[in-house]
Amino acid sequence: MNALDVTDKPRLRPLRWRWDGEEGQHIAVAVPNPGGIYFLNPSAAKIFAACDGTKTVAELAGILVEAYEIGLEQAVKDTVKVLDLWREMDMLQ
Amino acid sequence: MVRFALDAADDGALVDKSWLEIAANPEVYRESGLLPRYLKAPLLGVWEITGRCGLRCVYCYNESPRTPPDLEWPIAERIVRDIISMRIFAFCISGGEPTLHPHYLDILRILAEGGVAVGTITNGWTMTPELARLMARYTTAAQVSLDGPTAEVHDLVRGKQGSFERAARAVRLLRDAGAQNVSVSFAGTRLNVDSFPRMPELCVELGADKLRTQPLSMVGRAGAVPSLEPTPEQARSLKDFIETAQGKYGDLKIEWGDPSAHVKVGLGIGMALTLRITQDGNFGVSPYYPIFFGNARESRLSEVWERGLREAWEHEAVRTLFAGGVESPVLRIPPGLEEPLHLTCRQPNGGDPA
Repeated sequence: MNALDVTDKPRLRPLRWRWDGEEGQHIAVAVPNPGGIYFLNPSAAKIFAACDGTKTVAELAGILVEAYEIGLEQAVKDTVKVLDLWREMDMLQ
Repeated sequence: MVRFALDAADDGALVDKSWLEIAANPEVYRESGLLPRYLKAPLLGVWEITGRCGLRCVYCYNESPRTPPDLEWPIAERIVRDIISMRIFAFCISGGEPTLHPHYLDILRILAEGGVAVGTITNGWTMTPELARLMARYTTAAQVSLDGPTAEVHDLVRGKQGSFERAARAVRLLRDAGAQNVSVSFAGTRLNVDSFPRMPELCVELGADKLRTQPLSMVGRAGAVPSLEPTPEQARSLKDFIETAQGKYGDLKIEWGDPSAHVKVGLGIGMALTLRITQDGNFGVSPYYPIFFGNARESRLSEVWERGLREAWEHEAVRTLFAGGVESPVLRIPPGLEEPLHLTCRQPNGGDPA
């Protein structure tokens, strides 16, 4: 599997998911591999909800920069890490 | 299996924990924003749609067959619609024997068409090629109860001659119909647990994907007959066998469950993840313990959830029941729960739980 590039535009597979938690900032999602229901915290949920195939990895990282006032380099690193895991779990097309 | 979280945390670490791991240290995960106070809806549920059953298993946890009438169809149908609109991920349709419910296939179909992953549990008595075909179409998992490798053992535990042949045939029919995730469940009592080592070969022969067992829950009918509980030696032998049997029977998965896990998780994190609906419409928080927070004849599922079921494990009465912890791995009824506990949720205007 090739490493993700910051110019890639990840898109979710059709998955069953919902906004969750008392403030609706978490996401619960049924994952195909290994199966089961995963729960995303608000920062991961922001990335997940924006993976519609129109935004680059760099733009997704920008969402974290804006929301949490962290540096772009750290945000890209975190975003790539979580996207790589979601790819392994067959959550991305 | 329910896993917990994926998270790009401050240090870039990914968090991937089971609910049990989270429940052991919930403050850490709540403070970091990973763990909410409650969910908008259960993740999973089990619905005992009927108390009718043609068998009379010596250990039945909900003492089927039971006489109270099943929910009227308009109320049951409303539950189905709520399960879909609340976006509950998966529901297990159980009983009694669920295939005896006149709307069994309607329930499977509507849930499946609504995007819910549907599982079901059957004793296999009523199975036909046509029923298996429709179950295969609507379910993502089907479980047949088989409590022994021979008719002599199984029929003794299940209280009806001929039930072994029907159950074994049901597994084959489901496989032939292309059903996904066909599993066999085995409830080990003192009468039959020694026969478990012969179960994997039978499951392979029948074409099952999985063989599942767990410590016998001493609730319901089993709770009234303590001598049904396997001896410590029997329990140890069973566990030893399962640990060494993995991978020895081709693709057959052999699963050992922990019936107390949901209580440990619930008491740890406070919020409810799963839901039980009984045949007469009670909404509960445990598949085994009779702790209820409302009834479908009086309130909608979504209302009961919002009024307190979602935080059921924080309820003072529940905390009191389990103040001494939960007995594990064999579930027993704690003092104070000899009769079903019906707790009052917050009122719609936001009052405190009674």
